[in-house]
Amino acid sequence: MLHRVIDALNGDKIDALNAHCDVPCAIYDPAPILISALTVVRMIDIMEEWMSHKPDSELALQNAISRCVAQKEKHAEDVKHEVRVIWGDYLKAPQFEKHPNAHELVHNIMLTGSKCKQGVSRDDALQLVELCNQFAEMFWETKGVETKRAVCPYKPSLETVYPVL
Amino acid sequence: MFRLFRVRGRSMLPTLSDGDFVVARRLDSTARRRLQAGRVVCVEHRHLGPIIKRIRKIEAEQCELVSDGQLGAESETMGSVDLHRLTHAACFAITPRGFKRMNLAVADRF
Repeated sequence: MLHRVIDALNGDKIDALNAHCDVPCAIYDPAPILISALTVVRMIDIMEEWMSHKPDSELALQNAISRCVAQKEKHAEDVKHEVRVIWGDYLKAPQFEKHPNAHELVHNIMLTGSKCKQGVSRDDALQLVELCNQFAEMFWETKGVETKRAVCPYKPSLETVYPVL
Repeated sequence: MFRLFRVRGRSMLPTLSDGDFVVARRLDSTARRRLQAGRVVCVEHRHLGPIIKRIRKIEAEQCELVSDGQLGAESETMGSVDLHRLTHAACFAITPRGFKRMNLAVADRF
């Protein structure tokens, strides 16, 4: 009764105290970020392969390029989304104190991810992979997990960060 | 002296639900020194802003906070909090189910 009265009178004007819960499942892993970044490079490589070989038909070429562009777009956006989730939900004050460059690194990933969506520069895509590698190293360091860099066992065969578990 | 707050979120379940109101008493330096572990307090947290939590441990000029619910921020995330950041002590909760005095502690979280 009293609750209803307060709520009806001026409940919205009363200062709020946060007791937030965003269902912290605590499952965070940068692996999808790296796979998506590698996919961006791979899509550009496939498009270059198509352009350097005479296709069976113009329609086949357009079809293949369209499919690669769509995947490049999706995976570059996936990189940005997954990084934002870890940055926004997992990283908190204690981690930011240990990694003061985290904000700048995340911002660079956002900018480079956008560049990869807009263009077909392989250098931009390689830069995205490198930034994501740095992000993964930072992430695993906050977990106290050692990492190593190894060439991924599939194309585009680029150096990628893996946790040593 | 006393102030009314609205609770937002579910991290203090089952003690406090989203939308409950809390009647809290303002804390001065003397009242802060008398606080005990288990008390629900309003905190102006350095990074998390205004929050409501339970005191897990209190010593000298700092304390550790805990959520009553399993889904709230962990004590490690909230870190040690300076006592001067504790602004009010929760005395009563006004909920849709009625009026209740705030209990001192939830045993299984201590």
